[in-house]
Amino acid sequence: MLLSLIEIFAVILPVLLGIAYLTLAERKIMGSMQRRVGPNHIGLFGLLQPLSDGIKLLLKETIFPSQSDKIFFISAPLIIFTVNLLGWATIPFGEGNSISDMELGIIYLLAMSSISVVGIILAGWSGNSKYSLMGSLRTTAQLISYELVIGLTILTIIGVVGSYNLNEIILFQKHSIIFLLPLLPLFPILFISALAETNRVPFDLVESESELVSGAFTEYSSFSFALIFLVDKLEYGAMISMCTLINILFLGGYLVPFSYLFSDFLLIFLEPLFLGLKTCLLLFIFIWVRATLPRVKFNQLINLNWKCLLPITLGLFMLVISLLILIFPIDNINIQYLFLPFIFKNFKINKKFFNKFLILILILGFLSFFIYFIYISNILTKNII
Amino acid sequence: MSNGTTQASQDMPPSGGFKPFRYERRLPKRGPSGVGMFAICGSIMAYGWYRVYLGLDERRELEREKIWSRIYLTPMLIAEADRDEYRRRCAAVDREREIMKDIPGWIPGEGVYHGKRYAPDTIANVPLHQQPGFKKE
Amino acid sequence: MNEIIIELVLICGAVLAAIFTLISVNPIYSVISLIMVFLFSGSYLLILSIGFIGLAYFIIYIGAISILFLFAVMMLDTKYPEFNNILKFSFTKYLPFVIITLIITVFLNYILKYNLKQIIYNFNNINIIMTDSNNYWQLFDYFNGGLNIIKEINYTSQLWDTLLPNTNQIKIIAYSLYTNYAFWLIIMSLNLLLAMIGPIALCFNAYTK
Repeated sequence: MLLSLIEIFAVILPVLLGIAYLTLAERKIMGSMQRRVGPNHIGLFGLLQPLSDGIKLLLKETIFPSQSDKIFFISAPLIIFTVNLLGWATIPFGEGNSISDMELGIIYLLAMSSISVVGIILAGWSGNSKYSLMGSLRTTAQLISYELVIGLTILTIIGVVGSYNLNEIILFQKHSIIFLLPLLPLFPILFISALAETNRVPFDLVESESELVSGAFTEYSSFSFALIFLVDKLEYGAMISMCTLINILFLGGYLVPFSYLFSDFLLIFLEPLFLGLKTCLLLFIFIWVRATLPRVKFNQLINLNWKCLLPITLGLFMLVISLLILIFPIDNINIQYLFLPFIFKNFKINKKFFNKFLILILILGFLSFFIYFIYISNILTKNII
Repeated sequence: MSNGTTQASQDMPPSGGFKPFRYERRLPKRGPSGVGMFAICGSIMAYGWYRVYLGLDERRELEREKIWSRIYLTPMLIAEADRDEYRRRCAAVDREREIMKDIPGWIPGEGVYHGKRYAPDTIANVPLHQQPGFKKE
Repeated sequence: MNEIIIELVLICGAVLAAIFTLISVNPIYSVISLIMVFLFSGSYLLILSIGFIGLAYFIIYIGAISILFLFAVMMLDTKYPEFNNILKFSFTKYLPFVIITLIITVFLNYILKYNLKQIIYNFNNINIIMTDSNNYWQLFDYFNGGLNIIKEINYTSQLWDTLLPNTNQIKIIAYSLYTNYAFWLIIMSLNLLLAMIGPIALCFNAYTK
């Protein structure tokens, strides 16, 4: 029992420190990109800035809106933050070195990111003003839209790896190649979805700083504890979690290059270090994007997801599965079927005829797909229909 | 205005006019073309998929090794279970012989079947004092 | 002991949250109670070690369906009945239905009985499994002035040949869902299609602007 507590604190405290110093890192990096220095007054090179920010926020007067629902008001940021921290349970810091090495680790991460959306709706509702409500609903729409794309990319990678365990994904990348190379188009897609999922520029119009009065969280002015959570830790916590996820899926998590040169004892210290380094690289790109790109409009954002990213991701999913079946063919299915599209090159469709029987054609198409799928499953499981 | 005797300088174009300069927007299309991008991505992905193929082959061989090792282990496990079952059966027969020693015509260890074939016991042979809920009186 | 406590907390929480869903005046409280029901049920499924379905509850119910409900409750201007005085709520109007439902639920629980089995001893090759009694009339036994639930004790052997091939849960679902029950999968998908298109067909009025 005590050991589990120590384990949990050993993971959560550095995460909290990381979130706090990520705020400082962002300000300094953005400053460097804008030819100025970030905060450098407080400590040595400004290293105590997050501390002073926290103290300032804590000393503010706590204000509750009078008409708001106290329970939701207080619990919404707590829900978001807690669920975000719960997601760190399955992330491996070494080979098999996580708090809980779940068989279904990826699904657990997806579940945690799904639950945190409820907290945002509650935060917007408890503000008791239509602006915060609309802000939160927009944020929610954005979040659940881009979660689809994230889920699909994860599914594609699971199709290659075959197991839902996070350590298995990383070990597969160790034995073959990091997934950045074979699944190259998926990496920017996941990156963009992660930007949208964490409400970062260029998708941060809901809480566009210095324009609106922070969107969904308008009524949270100087509610001390929640403000710390919301302003600093919410966005940055989600950022670090997302970057770690992208790291594990595409860049090989804790893998050390030339790991055969190091002894096992040295690897225990090197693997978490490389996890941190790769995550820091991704976070640097996040901040770089923030300093560079302008904001998109809401309809452009939703258009991007449903009309651009989702079809591409679906297509890539089909491509990956088909490539896997091509590499390891299942029982007697020959490669000649690849040439089917070229046989029907000169097929002309009569438009009126097509429209009349469109539904029938669609249903027949889907049924044939189902039957093909069931045939394949029966062959794979050596079942006799 | 009077002309000819002005000494003040005016901002006039130089004699002969300005040199011609480009005023239209011209943004040249830089970088690889569409086909080029597909080619670069395709080659990187092809190498990546080749490595994935090798990794999948390796994983299949590892799986095959694991399953065959388990298949080769089953005789030993069967033998272990048989030894345990035999020991328990002998102990149960001994207990039965102890309990039913005064009853004439009772053959301990005799099954319910007429034939001589070995039939394993219907229930597991766990002695009474090891069963849960047993209270010493 | 700890498992029993967690189990009881989750069960009572789910039932209480379901009751709150029904009796709360504020529709947002109702939806939040519904989210709690899903939370407790999903956690209970996780404790039963059906990991995939439990997590699927979290993703699908809390992550998508509850958000849909919240959107509907917040955005649409629906009229809700006002329970000004909860004592005016008539108990006798629906009482027969409640009693019949309770009888059916309780009775069905003993007809379609699935016993939760608990492995209490583990020898080399033998498992001793304790379940509730399958005999309905002998389920509760009054003796020594107290009420005892009769537990039956079965002995099974620990077959190692079921432990040799270890497949994960999702493969097990897939191996039966897509092969033996493939027909039912197609029927269920058609059911889902009906559920999606049905409300549109019911509420669609081509003549309203």
